[in-house]
Amino acid sequence: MSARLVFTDLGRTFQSAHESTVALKGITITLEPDSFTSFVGPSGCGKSTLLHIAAGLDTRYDGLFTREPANATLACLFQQPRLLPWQTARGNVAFVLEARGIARRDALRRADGLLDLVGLVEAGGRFPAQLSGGMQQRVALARALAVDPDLLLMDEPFSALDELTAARLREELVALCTSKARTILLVTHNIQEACYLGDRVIVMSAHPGSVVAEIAIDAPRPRRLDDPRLAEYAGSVRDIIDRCEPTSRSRGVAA
Amino acid sequence: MTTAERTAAPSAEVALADGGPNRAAAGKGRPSTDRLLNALYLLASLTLLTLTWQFVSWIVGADVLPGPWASVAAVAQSQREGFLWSDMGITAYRIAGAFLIALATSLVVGALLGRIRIAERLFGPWVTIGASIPSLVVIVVVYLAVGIDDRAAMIGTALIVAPAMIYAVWDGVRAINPDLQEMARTFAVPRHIILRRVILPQTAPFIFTAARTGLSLTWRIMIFVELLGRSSGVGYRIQYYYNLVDMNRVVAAAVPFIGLMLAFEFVVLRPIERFVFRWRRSEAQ
Repeated sequence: MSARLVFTDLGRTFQSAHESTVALKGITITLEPDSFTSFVGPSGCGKSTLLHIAAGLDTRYDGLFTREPANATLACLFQQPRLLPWQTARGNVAFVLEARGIARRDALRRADGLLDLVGLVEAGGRFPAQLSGGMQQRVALARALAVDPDLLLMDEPFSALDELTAARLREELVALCTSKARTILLVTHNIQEACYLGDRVIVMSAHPGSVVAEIAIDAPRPRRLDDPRLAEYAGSVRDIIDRCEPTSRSRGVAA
Repeated sequence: MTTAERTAAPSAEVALADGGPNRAAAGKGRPSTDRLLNALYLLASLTLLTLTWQFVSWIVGADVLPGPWASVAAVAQSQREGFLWSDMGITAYRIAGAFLIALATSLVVGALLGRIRIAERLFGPWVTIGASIPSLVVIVVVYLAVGIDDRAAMIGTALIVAPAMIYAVWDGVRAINPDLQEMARTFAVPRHIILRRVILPQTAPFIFTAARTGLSLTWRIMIFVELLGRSSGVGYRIQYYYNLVDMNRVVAAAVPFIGLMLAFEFVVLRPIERFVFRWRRSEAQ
């Protein structure tokens, strides 16, 4: 069952010995079941903090956060693949299945099927160090799909890849993840990517991290990267970001 | 020369061959020609060492450093007189005991220092101080406190060896990558499985390093400990023949044990290391 995420007046302050930094403030937003939401904004706008809270990794927030159903299955795709280097590709996929109590043999068989899905069936016996960055991220995608998540969280999953690999993986991601009802949250600093993938783009600004705009992306799927409507959406997102922070272009927001 | 130094030369060559022409095949089993080449290099290295030994023996005189053949003959003589194997056995037993104590100590202390900030701050300096206490002081104090027996020999040696091993384990625990734990937590992996399958494998290389350096250090220290307070074992035998100025027998006491340590390194440690860390060999690609 697809999950619903509700953030109500959510805040997060990081305390260090000398100062306190407000990473998030007054975030009120609902992610409906079976929706694809992109969060975009400059570095330091707290979008990764938001994802950590959604993943349940960070519980020291203020305000309210609920995940319905509470036992929704979760999967994460990070900027780095975060594979276990001492496990083969299939061992890495099987790992999350075994942790759910599936016998190793069955887990490995299912892992092979998932690796086939991401086009890596022949690389199943290789260790992560023997795979390219794109292949590693594919293994991570297979691992995320292995648990058949109700909620898929992605933290800049394509930003460490070259653009050609990233473009191909984005397409595969759409094909693989949207075939079934699931709630997807993507955090990115790539405006085009946010518009291309999301049903809705949430624009955030920094200091403190807060939501400045919500834009519904009304473009039919399957989408094309060169769709002029997407370019228009990307343009308006960029305008919003520029208005909030005139210098944001030089602070690492990809156009 | 120490065990570690003696093995350094061949291991460097093995490492070179690992990263060399057979890189593409790494992780999939090595072609037999490479194994043959490695074995030949090892043989060449050992031959060269024997020749160097003979040469140095000529320079300083055979009465100071007997050559390889004289030493082998002396080993054979010790064997005929019947104390060769009992010496090695008792020394190996003491080394095993001391090593296990040191390993257990270093695992517990290293883990605590690496995980608990307050422990690191309060007791971290103790390790540094412990490492700088002269071995002789530790041995003498432990002999006096515990009594001059095998137990004291093991504890004293373990105390001397432990700091170096603690450092290695401590480093390993500090090097644990929190990203992988985070990943496992998002996938709702139970804590005991995270410990066993995510955290422990990351520290394994460091524990292995700790064990290896610890073992060679234990053997070198144990010889002194035996020399000071035991009436059996390799260390005792070296002292005994040194007092008789029978250098053939001094070297003959040490050589078989060096052989045993080398055999352990190549027959036990290396194959285990190769299998357990096979995922690392391809990392250079």
